[in-house]
Amino acid sequence: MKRFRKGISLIIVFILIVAIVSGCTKDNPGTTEPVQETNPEPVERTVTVTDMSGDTVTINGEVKKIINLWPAGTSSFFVMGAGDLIAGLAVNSPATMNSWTQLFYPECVNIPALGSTTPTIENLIKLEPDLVIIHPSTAKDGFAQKIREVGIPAININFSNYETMIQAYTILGEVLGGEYQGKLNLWSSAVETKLAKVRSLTDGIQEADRPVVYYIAGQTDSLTTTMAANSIISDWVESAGGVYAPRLMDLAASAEVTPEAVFKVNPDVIICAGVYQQIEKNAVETTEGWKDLKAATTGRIYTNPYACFNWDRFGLESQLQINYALMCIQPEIASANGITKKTMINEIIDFYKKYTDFELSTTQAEYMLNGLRPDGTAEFPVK
Amino acid sequence: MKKTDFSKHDLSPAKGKVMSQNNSLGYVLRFQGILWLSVIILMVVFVLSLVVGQYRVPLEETFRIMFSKIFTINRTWDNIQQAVIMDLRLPRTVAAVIIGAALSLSGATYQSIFKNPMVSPDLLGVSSGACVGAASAILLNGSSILIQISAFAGGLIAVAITLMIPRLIRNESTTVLVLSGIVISSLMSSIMSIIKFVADTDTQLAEITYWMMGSFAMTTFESMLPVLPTILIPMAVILMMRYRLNVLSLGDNEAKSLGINLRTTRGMFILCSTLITASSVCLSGTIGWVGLVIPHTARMVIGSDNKRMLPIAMIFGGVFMLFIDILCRTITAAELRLGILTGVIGAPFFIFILFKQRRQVQ
Repeated sequence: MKRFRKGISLIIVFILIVAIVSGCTKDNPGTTEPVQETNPEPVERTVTVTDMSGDTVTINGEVKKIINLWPAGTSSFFVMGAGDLIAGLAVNSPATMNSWTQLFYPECVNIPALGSTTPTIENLIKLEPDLVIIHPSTAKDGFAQKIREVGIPAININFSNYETMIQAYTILGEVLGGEYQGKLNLWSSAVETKLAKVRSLTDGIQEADRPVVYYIAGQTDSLTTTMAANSIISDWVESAGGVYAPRLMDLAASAEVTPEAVFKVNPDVIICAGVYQQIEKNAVETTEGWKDLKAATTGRIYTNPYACFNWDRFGLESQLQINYALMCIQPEIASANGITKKTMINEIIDFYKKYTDFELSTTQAEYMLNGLRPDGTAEFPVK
Repeated sequence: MKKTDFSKHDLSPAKGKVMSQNNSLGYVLRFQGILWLSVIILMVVFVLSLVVGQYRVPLEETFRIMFSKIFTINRTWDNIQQAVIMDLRLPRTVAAVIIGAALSLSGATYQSIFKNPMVSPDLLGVSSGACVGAASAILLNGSSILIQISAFAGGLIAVAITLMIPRLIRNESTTVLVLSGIVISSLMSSIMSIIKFVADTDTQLAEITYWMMGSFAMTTFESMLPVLPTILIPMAVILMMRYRLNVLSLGDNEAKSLGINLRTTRGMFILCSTLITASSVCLSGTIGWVGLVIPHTARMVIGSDNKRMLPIAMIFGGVFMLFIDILCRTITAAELRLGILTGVIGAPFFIFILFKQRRQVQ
């Protein structure tokens, strides 16, 4: 019996040693069979890019299946007509895709929902993606490296303003190649041109003459949730000749400010964004204190258009925000340079035709400009 | 059977000794002095809370605006100043006093019932239950009223489950009750983690996190009114019956020997404290430390006699909460959350109390 136990123990120890040694040993390229021998077909396309974490990533073959774990970047795929490339999203349910996205890409509701920005690696492997775009918050914790270790290229294309968006879309363009690279390059040059034009129109405005602009994020019905002083919001507000209110408040991070802080800066223009924009606009116009702010008494409270994503935030549609912001913040300059509601409607139609290959009607474009859904109703209507 | 008049007994919950010296003239005068001084401080901080803010409203205008609701006064202020005082500062100032007093009273009551100075109002899972209720409503994109109702219901359900466990296992001792509270709190924390995990990271998760940190930013008189009866009535009941807390804190056998119906009395205090805490949490979110630190401070100042300690704790709680709220809305343009500052100020203060009472704490 004692010898039997000894034998069993030796076998277990042997198995453990073999398991540990095989687990720790790295694959020796010299001992593995060359890929060419098992797959004689030549690799169609090899791209090496440096992502926004500074990691060099090589992608072999055409990218046909992408898992996008960064919600802020999702809309870009639908806008550039690349919805078919998406094989998984970090959402709980794709059924929550908004009505504009469903209009442009009805299949969006069938995209697998991974429910988290850090799904299990096994789940990723199961979906067999050609590329994973990670959430920027996971860029430093080795998540991308773990994905790469199982042979799936993973990149970080974080962005926070127009400049970083151009960098991100340039990388994504290189990765996707072909038609999409063309669209993304076109987008980058259009943004640069529009920004340069708007900035040249507003450069000469004295600081004192620039209207103070307060932005309501609108992810909830709170009037006091705004974005940080250094964000994409400040990018388009300042380009369009405004002073972004959080700069006057020294607001380093996006946060809920006190109503008194807003009253203190007494904004000349209020921009209500997000899904609650109609409710917010109504609340500013009717709430004690808010309705007496300069923006309210002069009728300068604006809703902000959105489609696949909010124009005021990130994504390809943010290109449309540049002229829209000028129209809200410096209406005289905009009008003198041919930027009016009518031209904006044409710009919207052209944009989606060019990038999404979708022909919007004038009515639909007008609804979009007014911050409404394709059927003319509000996402969250005023009760 | 002869009934004992407990109001005549003056007992120390901390030491379990009759403190007859508490009726001495010196002690009564000291209590009166501290009570009135506390009331004056509360009034001063109350006015300060109305005057201090990021939007400047002169002191004189503040009083004019306030009294214009009662007397006819020539209008010298603008609409924004009126809105700042009447719609922003006054509701949250009133709420801060009520919630601070409520949580302190609730904490002191729990500490006396369970004869444990480390107990806070969320001992039986009320706060964690309220968090689950509120977070569920946020997850379902519910309105602020639904969030309030869900928080209240969640808090009560959690405590109901906690109270049910000792009955189920047929051991209704205090220890089992406390352990049940710990188990239910842990369970609720796990459910919270699940809710946070599935919440939308851009919107719902932030809202849940903010709610859990507590704030008076969204408080209005309209949101306060439905909750006030479930705060003020239990507070009044506890205050009227506070002498019984002294008896309970002596221990079960002593309380029984004095003719106290232990189950009914303890149940009544638990019910009142739970209602107070659940109502407070549903109005302002979870606010830690107040229910733990303030009763200790009051005990340090006036002693352990609940008859005198509870009113002092309530006033201290109101002052502390007002002070915290002033800081929350004035330090930066961003609205700081109450839970952040109560923790930052409460924890070192609690260490100070422990240091001061190091000889009594065994």
